[in-house]
Amino acid sequence: MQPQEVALSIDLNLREKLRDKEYRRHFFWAETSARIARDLINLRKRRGINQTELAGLIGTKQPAISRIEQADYENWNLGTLRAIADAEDARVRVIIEPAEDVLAEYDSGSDQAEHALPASTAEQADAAHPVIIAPETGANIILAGTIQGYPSRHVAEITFASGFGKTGAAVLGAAIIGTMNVDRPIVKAGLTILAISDQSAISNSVTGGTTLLRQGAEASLLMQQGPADNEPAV
Amino acid sequence: MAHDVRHWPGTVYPGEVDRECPEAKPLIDTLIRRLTADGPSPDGYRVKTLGANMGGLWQINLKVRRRQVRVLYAPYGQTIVLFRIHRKGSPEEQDRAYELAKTRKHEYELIKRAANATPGSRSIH
Repeated sequence: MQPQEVALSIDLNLREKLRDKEYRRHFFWAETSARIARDLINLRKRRGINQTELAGLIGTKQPAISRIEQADYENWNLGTLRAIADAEDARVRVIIEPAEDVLAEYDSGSDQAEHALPASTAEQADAAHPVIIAPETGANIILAGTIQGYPSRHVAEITFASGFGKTGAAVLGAAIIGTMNVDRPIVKAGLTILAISDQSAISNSVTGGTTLLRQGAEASLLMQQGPADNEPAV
Repeated sequence: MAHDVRHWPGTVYPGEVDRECPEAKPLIDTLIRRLTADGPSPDGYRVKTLGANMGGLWQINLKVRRRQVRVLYAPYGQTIVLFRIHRKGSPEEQDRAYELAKTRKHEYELIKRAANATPGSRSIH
């Protein structure tokens, strides 16, 4: 069984960000530079030569090759790329695409596929925990329950947007495990709650899954007591 | 094989990028895509493994408009966790960034270990 992941997913939200002309100008250049660097490195390795040897072939110095093989280097020019391609017996292809065509690729979700949570992780979260039916992303969820070992009733507010719980009487931090997507109202996830009792320094790590019907609904938590020797200091 | 890039805590991305180095966002986004596609050491990036005394952190430096932006992270199998993204400043600021990243990594590993313990469980309402 795969270990349960507690770190939070990253949503690049490229479809939205690429609507901004200034952002996409920089993003397209960043992607192009990273791709050129990767292709140059792959080509040079395939030819079995090092940077110094390649520099000698095109009449430059090794640091110039090192620079152009950096993903964040944006001052390359076609003449240099042609010289490298000629020296290493390769072809340079330049493709110029209208932004609207490129955006269409992102609208079709092709960028999402690359960043989707691996199915095995989603399945594992599903098997380990009941399903959360989440309200809108960014909404506060109220979880209520008595944490094992503590006599009083604890209430935690968890904000899905940050995935980090507001510090309250009972909860120091919380992480959403699983996928969050504004386009999909149903989210399968688990929760990890790091709890403290009555503001004391005693800490207790618990994990749990929950079923939420809608925002503000009282939750039912299935909790697991963490081992005593793993209790994190607060 | 695709990697799963995540962050801990939930304030690293986009929070720290927006706050400390918004001009680097397109490059950070590209880096995250490359980490996802190629793993923790993608070609073309200056990757450093910082060693045990730095908590086992990995580091990538990006140059953005003559300023350096630093990404501190660690791989865990197919998962890559980002712990700190900041603009490189004075040596004191860099030390603080390393310390924060180390603390976050330690906290993440503690919580992950606790979440993967196999004790008994009970339902509460």
